Amino acid sequence: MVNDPVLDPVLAGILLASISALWIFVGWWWGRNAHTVEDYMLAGRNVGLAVGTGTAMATWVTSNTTMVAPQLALQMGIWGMVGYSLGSIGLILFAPMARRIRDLMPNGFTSGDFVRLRYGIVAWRVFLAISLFYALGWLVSLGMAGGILIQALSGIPYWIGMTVILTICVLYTLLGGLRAVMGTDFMQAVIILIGVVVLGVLVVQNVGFNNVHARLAEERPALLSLMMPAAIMFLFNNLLFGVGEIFHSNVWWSRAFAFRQGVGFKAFLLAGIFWAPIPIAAGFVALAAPGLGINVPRPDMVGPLVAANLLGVTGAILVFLVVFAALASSLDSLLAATSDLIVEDVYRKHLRPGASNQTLRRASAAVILLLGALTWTLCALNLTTLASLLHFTGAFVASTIWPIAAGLYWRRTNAWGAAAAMIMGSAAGLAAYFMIGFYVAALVGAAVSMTIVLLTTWLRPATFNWTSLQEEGPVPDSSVAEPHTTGQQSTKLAFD
Amino acid sequence: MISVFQLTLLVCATLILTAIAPITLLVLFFRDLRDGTVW
Repeated sequence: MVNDPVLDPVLAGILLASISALWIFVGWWWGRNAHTVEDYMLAGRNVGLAVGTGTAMATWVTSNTTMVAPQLALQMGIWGMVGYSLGSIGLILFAPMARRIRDLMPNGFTSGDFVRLRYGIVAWRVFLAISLFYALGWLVSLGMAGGILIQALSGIPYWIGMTVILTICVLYTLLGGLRAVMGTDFMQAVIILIGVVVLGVLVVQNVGFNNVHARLAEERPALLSLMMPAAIMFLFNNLLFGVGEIFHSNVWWSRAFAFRQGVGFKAFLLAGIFWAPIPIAAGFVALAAPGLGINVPRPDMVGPLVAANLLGVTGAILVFLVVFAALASSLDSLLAATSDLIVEDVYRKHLRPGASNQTLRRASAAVILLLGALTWTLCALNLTTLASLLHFTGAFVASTIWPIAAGLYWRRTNAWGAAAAMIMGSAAGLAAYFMIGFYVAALVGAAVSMTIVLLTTWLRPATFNWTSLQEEGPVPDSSVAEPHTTGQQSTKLAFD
Repeated sequence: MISVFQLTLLVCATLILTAIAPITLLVLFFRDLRDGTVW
């Protein structure tokens, strides 16, 4: 470690234990009435605007938003923080899509359901491979970020911090399903927003705009420049990566299915508007470091260092709470949504199409536990190569943007075009990742995928019937006889 | 290069929007609670 922790380990331990107990209790309380599989996996499909907006916003605020946005501001200046805030475009663009998803698929469960019904089995399996690979990469990177950040902030060993945050999220997701996740997300959104505002105002009060500007102009004028080509390139890559993440991931689709009719559009739009200023406010905190005379040995720790300098222990506690909320709000959502994808698309659709509500409810809990254990094992290895896995997935997720968007709005986009776009887009993006750099992987993946979707839609137009997206959900418990068919037979029945 | 005025404008607008966000969330939540539409 190159800098001392900003928080005393004993105090941090007490804080960690208290917030762990709080989130587990709140998760249990919010989710205590989740009895059916729809309650557990989709919060009863009746989530209101407040919780909907809070969960969409908090889930998209990851540890990266609160820790890497300040780092980018310190490395790429104004464009770094403004560029990062363009991550909100994905949420805003998803707003009309959420409304359409809810209208087209009133009984849908996952993003996999859509791809299967819209494009057939080949595209669905390609999509599942991309989606599960991305979800695992994000889970591992969040778990590792939890351990690393808690250690950097408080000196608590990596494996303890990582274990605690994973255990808490697994526990309350297990206890209350999506209601627990969304309820805690709402509270975490409020904590994150208040924490960021308090820090920003303190910087303005203590350092002032003139001082921040003068010190930057004197010591690092490039950070105030509006012409930084590398930052502009990064900005577009980041934008496409974010759009790809949101368009394809079941984290967002499960919310579109869970929000009450008429809520999805407003919730995602508001979440995008509320999310946009956070990286700029967090980035401004970092730009104040030269004005405060702070030596920054690790750029990703600039936020906590400025907070501790301005507010002492209170500042360090505030940052600890904000970072923990940011991590937990994304980790729980990802656990729930990935579990849904595995239960619905792998277990029910491949292995047990006749599974009852009760069986699916049990399978869902088992998958959450297994996912938690798998993530813990991979995080415990603490390999830096795993942490960079998420960068790697940029090529894959960007290649899904066009198949998903075109599939939702264009009748004429065909199944083979969508499958080819995802495969070729991923391959081209991956080649660009290794031959040029991480900052062009998503750009190339999205460009190749777009070209294939547009060409195949134009050359071989299909005539898709939108009503075929309206599939029935799991069979109610009372009318279910447990299936005795083999997996292969069952799969065939499900696709018929 | 961005001027002091532009920096002030950018950061103030950002902080105001960020401050409005939790208030809006809480107002929406209590409205949903009153109407029984939280879930």
